[in-house]
Amino acid sequence: MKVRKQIYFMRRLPDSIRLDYLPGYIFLILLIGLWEAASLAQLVDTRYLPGPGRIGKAIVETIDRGRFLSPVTQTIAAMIPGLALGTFLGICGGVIMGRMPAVRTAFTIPIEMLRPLPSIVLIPLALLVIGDGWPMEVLLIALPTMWIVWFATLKGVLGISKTLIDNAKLFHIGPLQRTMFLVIPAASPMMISGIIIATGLSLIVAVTVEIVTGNRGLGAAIIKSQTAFQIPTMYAYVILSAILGYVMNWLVKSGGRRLLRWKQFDNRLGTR
Amino acid sequence: MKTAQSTRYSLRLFNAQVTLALASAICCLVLWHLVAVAVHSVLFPGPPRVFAALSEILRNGDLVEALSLTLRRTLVGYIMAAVFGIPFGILIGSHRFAYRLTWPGIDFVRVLPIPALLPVLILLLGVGELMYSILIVIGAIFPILIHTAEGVRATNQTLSDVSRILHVDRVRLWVSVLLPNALPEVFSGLKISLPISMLIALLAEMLAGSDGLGHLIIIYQRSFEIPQMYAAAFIIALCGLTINLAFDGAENRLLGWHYR
Repeated sequence: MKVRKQIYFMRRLPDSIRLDYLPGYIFLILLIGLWEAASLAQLVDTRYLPGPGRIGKAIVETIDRGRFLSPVTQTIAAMIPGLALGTFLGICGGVIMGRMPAVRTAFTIPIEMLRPLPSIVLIPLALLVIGDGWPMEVLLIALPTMWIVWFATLKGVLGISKTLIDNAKLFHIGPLQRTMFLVIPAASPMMISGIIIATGLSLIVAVTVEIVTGNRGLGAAIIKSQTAFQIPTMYAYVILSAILGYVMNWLVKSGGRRLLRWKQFDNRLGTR
Repeated sequence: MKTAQSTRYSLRLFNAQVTLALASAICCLVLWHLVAVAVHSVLFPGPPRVFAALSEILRNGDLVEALSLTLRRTLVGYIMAAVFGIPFGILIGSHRFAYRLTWPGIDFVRVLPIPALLPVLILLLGVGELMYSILIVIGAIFPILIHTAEGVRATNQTLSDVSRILHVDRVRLWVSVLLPNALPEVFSGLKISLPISMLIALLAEMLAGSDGLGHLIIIYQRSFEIPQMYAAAFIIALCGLTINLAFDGAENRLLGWHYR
């Protein structure tokens, strides 16, 4: 029990923060040093590609004045409800399609037609139909999340051993309870890996929407500082959005692992 | 891996189910039409107007031109991502030190939202084919790289032990044991990356470009040609569907030995 706790504590750190990767950190620091040296020696055009020193200063400035807070919170405020809505709809859809073969057959063609449509393409349409605003961004994030979780869940549900379901039926466990306590837990590893993939995509969709509309969030902050030609600030926001992506990814992954404590987590690169 | 095949969800339909599937597809079309008639809004055209617009933009050549540009950009970036990603993945997967050296950097860059990089690349390179390619490479390389590395790393221990006992030389070991074993993983990386490549091409065209399918959709929106916009979206969905099916087919053909 103690060992398990220890391992669990170690897993709570992001994947790439480990002593193993010391050579990697040294390598990164060397690269950044090289870049700084190149920009100090004016080997690159520092108007367009300022050195890490200037970018660092810009990051500190944005954080210091608290200016980073509103773009970051606006992006998060769209991402989290979008992810939640998409996950909920995706799990419902996946479970229904997985457990009801007739529904699966009937909806295959329409769904396969709609699914490959990237949510980015719907931005112009959404601007006309819903209008720019928080609900539009949430819906556009929810859509790809829904499809990814939907098909991950479906795969998980179809992979459940028939013996398990038959056993549950034999014990007169009703369909609702079967779904809640057998189907959903059994499919949850697939669902969670779907949600992890969707998190990365949701940030892409959020930033794209924000760049197109230019009103809220990190995307708008990047575009605004570009048009105002505050290049170090633009780089600062790009780095902040990468940090946001990193933190979101880590939170969803460690949350998922927490939920899946009962299951041996697979030993993939980067998920270890 | 056997379950992967039996649970794989595909468009393969069986005789009795074909009727149901087709009937429901027709029902959906009819429903779409009825809703469009009921809503009676410019923003929600019914199937007749959308298909009329589709045939119109197909005939006047706008669509074909934009589509070929977008597809070319997608493929160039995608092939570049594969050309760089696979060898690099093999390196990372087979050498522990290379993995430890590069992973922190990779782990940070791969979560970077691609559209955020777009202004940076425009600043550095201007809007051009090079910018599209580099943006797509940055977005599409990581699934390929990570899957390849994982495939190489997770080679069956028994296989490599047996090869060592049989004194198989290094080249032979790679060519006939390690690489074929990693192939399914490489393939799934390639499969994940292709739609991402197309997404990024569309996204860059929408945000910065002056041509291509992404830009065409923006133009339709600005000139309020709503049925045309739906038609272009329909074509994009059709492309995505074709890509998916083609990949499933190729996978079954090339890697059938693996799943059997």
